[in-house]
Amino acid sequence: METFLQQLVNGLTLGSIYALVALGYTMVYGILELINFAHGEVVMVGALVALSVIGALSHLGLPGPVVLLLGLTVAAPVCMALGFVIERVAYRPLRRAPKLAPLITAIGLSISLQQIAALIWGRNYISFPAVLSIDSYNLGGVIITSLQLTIMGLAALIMAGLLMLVQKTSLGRAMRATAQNPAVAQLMGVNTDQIISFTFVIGSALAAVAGVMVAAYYSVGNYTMGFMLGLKAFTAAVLGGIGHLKGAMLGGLLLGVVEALAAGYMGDFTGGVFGSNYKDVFAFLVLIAVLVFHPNGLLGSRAREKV
Amino acid sequence: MSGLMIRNVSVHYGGIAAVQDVSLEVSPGERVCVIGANGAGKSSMLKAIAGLVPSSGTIEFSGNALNAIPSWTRVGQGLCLVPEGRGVFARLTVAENLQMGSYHRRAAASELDDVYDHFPRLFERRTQPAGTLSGGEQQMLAIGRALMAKPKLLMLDEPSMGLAPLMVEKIFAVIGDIAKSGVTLLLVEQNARLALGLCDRAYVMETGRVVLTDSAAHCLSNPLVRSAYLGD
Repeated sequence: METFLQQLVNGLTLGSIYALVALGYTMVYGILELINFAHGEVVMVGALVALSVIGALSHLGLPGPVVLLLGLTVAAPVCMALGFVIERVAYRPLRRAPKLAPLITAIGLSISLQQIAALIWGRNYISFPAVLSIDSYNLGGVIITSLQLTIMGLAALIMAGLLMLVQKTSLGRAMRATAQNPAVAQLMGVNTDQIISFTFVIGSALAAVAGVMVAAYYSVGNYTMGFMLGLKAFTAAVLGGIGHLKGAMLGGLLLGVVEALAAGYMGDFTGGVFGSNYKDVFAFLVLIAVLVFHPNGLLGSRAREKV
Repeated sequence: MSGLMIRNVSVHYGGIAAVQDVSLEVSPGERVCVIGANGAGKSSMLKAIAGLVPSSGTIEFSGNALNAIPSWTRVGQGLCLVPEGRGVFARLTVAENLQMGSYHRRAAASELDDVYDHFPRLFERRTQPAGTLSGGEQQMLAIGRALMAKPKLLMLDEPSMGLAPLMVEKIFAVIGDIAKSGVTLLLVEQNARLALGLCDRAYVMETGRVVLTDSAAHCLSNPLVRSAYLGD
């Protein structure tokens, strides 16, 4: 039971990060029916920019959370600008092209961004400077750290804010209208290009936050870190029902928990044949299972439209 | 102040000309319909005016050239199109659809009530996703949404399409009321009898060209129109 609760805490932490990244995939898909495969690299850039800033500030003796916040303050605008440029350069020119074309530019962009990052930050792992003093709390045998609490709390706050934005504001209404019928949205006076740019920028801001969280949580980062993270977040988005905001949140949390539980129990269940390093397999087994039994994802159901 | 004036407008889809060299005018306060068979280019012409498809020629509204400005700014000029197939946002609620109508300007809360007065049915269903409405209710919603835009010129593309006769009557009664309130009307309809009954003047389109223009009364008694579009 203690293992279970412990892994639940770890899983929810990891899942919060997946959820933030998954939202970026799902928002873009919702509006353009396009998988932005470069999104994982935006997370990576966010993490590495933050690591550089935090590294530069680490010996100034500022309090840990302040340094972390400064890292995020630089990483977020960089990622937002990157998201904006990605859409302009890789997707907008192909708006009317066959669906396969932007998929290919996405993959090309993803590889380019990795290599550019390798040039800037090198190919070695960059470790997170010891600026944070992390407290641990023991709740009946389950250990939860202040960092985990911060990650979960901040992610929950951001997700609540995003839901408010999309569901309650005029801008959010315009986003949903653009997602459903861009031509009619234009008739209503919506500058749909601007809405699409905005969607990329918001998704990228979430990616920056997730990147800083990952860097702080695992204490390392390098130019390839966006690949697996992106793939899993994409899995989470599909799991929840791609194009569906709450689906991405649920899918992210669920995937994190499944993965953590798999890591915790794999060794016991298989008599030590498979260890926790097989946890990644589980993420994709879950994806396959969902696609077989519920192809639209957990929350995704297409609203029938009358003519 | 002049109304809508289009001169020598053509619309091409790939190599196919959907609208060829069409000129048309609608004066302020006038009710004008465009009738013609399926594929005559009526919808394409409306889309060109709204900016949804690229076109050549001149399109002017209230003396301003529209050709150079993007589609999403045209509603701000007082131009509103209720598209063919209604184009409601299926997963937005009825109320949200109506709010989208006034996206381009700051609308008073009472304006929403005015639309609900026109269409009490929409008030009953205001929290439902628009996709759950019947075809007729969706047409009401599309027209209500257009009213929220406070248009000077309302363009309607086949408002009677796919609706039961009783519903068509209702919708046309509302369109008549809107026109009486001073809104200029440009109506595209396959149901020529209905359109001619409502409007002052008509254009007849065939294969992308305007082949006839006359007062609605003259059209109704024109033997060519009668045999081709009124089933006599």
